[in-house]
Amino acid sequence: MVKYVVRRLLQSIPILFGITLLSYLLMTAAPGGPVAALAFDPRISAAERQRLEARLGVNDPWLVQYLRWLIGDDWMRRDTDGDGIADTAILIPLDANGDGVPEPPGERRGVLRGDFGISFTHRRPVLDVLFERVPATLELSISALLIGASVGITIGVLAAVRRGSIFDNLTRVLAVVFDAIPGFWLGLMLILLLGSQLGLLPMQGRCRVTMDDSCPPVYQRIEYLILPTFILSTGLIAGYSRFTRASMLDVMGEDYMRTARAKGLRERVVWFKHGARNALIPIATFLGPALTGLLGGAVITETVFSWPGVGREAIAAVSQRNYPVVMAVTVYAALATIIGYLISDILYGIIDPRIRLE
Amino acid sequence: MLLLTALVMPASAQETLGAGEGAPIIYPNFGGDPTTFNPLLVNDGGSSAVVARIFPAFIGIDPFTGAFVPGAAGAIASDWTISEDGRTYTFTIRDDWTWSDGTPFTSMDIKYAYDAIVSGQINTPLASAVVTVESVEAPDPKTVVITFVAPTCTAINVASSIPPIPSHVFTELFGTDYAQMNDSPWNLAPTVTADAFDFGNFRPGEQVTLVANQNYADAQLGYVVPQGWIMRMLASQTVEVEEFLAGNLTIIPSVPEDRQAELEALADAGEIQMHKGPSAGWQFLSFNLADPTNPRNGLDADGSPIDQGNHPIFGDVRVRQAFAMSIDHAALNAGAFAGTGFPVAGPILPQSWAYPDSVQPWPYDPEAAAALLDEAGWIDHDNNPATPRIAQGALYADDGTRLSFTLTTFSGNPSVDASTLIMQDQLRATGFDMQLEIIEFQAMVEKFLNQEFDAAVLFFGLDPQNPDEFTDLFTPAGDVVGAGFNVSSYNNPRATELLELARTVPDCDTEVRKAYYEEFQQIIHDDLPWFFINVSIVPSVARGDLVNFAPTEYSLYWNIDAWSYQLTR
Repeated sequence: MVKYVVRRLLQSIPILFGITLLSYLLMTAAPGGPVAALAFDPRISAAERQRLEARLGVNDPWLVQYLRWLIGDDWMRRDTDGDGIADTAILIPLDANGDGVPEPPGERRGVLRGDFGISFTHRRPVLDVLFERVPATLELSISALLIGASVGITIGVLAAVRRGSIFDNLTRVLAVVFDAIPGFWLGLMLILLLGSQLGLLPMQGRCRVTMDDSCPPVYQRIEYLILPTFILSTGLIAGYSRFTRASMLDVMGEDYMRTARAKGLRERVVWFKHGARNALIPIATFLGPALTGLLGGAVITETVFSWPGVGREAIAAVSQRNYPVVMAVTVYAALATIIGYLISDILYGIIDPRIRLE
Repeated sequence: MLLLTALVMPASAQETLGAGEGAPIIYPNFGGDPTTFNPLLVNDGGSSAVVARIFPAFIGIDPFTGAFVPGAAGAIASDWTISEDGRTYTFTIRDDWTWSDGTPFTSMDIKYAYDAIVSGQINTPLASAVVTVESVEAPDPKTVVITFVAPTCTAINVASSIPPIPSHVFTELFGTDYAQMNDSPWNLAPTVTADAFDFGNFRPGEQVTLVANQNYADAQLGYVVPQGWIMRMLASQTVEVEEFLAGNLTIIPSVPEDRQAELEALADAGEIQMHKGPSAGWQFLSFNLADPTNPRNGLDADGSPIDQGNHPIFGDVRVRQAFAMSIDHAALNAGAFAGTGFPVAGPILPQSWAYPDSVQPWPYDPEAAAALLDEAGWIDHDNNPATPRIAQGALYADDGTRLSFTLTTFSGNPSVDASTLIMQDQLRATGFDMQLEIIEFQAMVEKFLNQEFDAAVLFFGLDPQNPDEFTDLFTPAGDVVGAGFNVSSYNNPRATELLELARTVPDCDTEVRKAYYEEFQQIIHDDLPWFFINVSIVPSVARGDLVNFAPTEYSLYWNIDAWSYQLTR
């Protein structure tokens, strides 16, 4: 097992590398840039905008920018005589803004050395910006995953054992409906109905507005989780219920189910102990895609509900062309997806002893 | 901990509360978190809103006239004198007010700020604002001497852009290594401030909290009424209005157009308070006067004009004028701006001291527009006004060219969407074929600054009291591909000269300056590098029970320290 996990992790390195390269290329090829986003103001002179461009390094070729992000620029523009002024440069010009004065020596060490850079807009280390938002995203994602899996699997099992019943047909229709409804639309509708019109639930945010710096533990502010969790879990409930139903129907006709019944076991024991347990095996593989879907869904849900998580920051970073944050979120999402699929495979091996991970 | 749900009582039925007894002012923000609370680095709306509540200005305005005045509330300059040659301004720093740690304001608070701005080491948007300053000196703790490169009538505007900072703190933290300021943790947790509120805390993605500063020297009532000021991060304007209606926001500084009628009805019923004032900006349409397939700067390195070619359609001023006369603003206003807008003739707005009444917007006159197009060599070849005209003897287009162009604008703004569609329809009646290119904002900005468009619609605003800010928009100095705002490649030497003349009037005689700006407005009106589509009346709303909510045309927040309401828990 350990050998398998290590091999899979090693295999994921080139995948991750490819994802970052492609992402950087697409990001820098997209129209618009961070300077326009940071300094779109007629009161800022053209020369000042050009200086900002040089300072951020966004006027370098995209491959140089990518290398800076990957392995830093402390080797690209260096101060060799220790006077604090850069005197040698590789790949990038010594005087990037053309004002006759060398730019400061490079300070970035690159992601391979643990430096994800400085956010263009926040002017803080990117990891600081993201780490303070990870707890909110985890809170929402874990809630949605728990609700989505437990409700979805339960509905799927019940629909299968009552195949053709009103419950089965109703849940199948609802699964399709909730799978098809865009989360942002449903979110806004629920905000208007339950938040604005009925005043039953908060419309925005994660905690109460307070004068102090406190946000109480999650169990004291469940009301803030209800709407975003519901929106984020609807797709999961739909997916899990349909997948579980199909899987349950597959195992219903198996010999061991007939044997269990022949032994005189009660139907409930047959369904849940023998049927559902085996039906869950293929469902384990759903975890990887579910995690990916959660990350994607969190971006929308966090934005609609002003939930202070990574997804909302990602949207802001994309619209502001905040390249370092966009890349960090890309790495975060890629890692989460790779790990999600790896966990799926490991679970598969644990649930089904016939499968050996080698 | 405060649960912010409230029962609203009319403001008139309530009395102003005591020091710190009022509920906190809850202010909405969307579009991203504030990024810094350092006045030298502020470059976004959210950050500016916070900084304005916790840091003083150097020179302040009279909220009832909009003019800079000595000793204005919330500003540290108590007085100033001007040297005979008009180059040197000597300011006196007031001594009846201190930073939040008790340290008196000193002239170094201005000098340090200026030195940091011009050092080139910090990421500040203010460097361009002070290019006309030759030096800032602090001969004694209460005197600041600012010398300008040349006499300028914009001196006070320029000086006012230098924000006071607590130099005693900054000197200790950064010394003269200003670059350290860029990434300093102080930027998001300022320890020393000075205004109606002190910094409290910042929960990223959620809220910024400020607490009442009862040592604020300029408090309208002698004390600060609200317990604090809280900026809430919200998802969108839609949610903003819903949160306001639910009592979870104290004010909305700018009501979205599609909700104005609804909120106005509530204001008429006395349930909320509403203040209306003209926007400080315009929605405008820039014509590209140069060849968009080969954008070039307006001037070469020696300052000589560069041949930029001509736009086949909009290179001819008669076509631009015909365009303007094809637009029915009344219909546009009703369809796109909920009837709240008005047209303007040029960039100088009615609330500006320099506004000339004599220059009026282009009239809606489709017949005159058609005649002008005929004269310009764009003919209605099939006697069908609804089909695009074609060139026959036009100035810059080959014969047979259709009067067809692309209007580039950005997505996601309902009034822009509606106004461009209405204009498209109106222009069709005079033989223009306008294709719409609606793209993501940053992509649009890139095309706009790169001058790769036929015509482009945007909106933004500058300081209405300082027409000199139009320099980068309408003179060749701003015609820099990819970076300058004279995206039309407009160059009228007289317009450039008028801005210079108005800037350097001896003794800055207001009437003389106004005459120059009047001629400038007339030239921009006639030459039409930009067509000013609309200026909106922007309502602000506040809770019905908010006492002392009394915005002026120039300031919404001038007495925010006296705003008072109580929450019913």
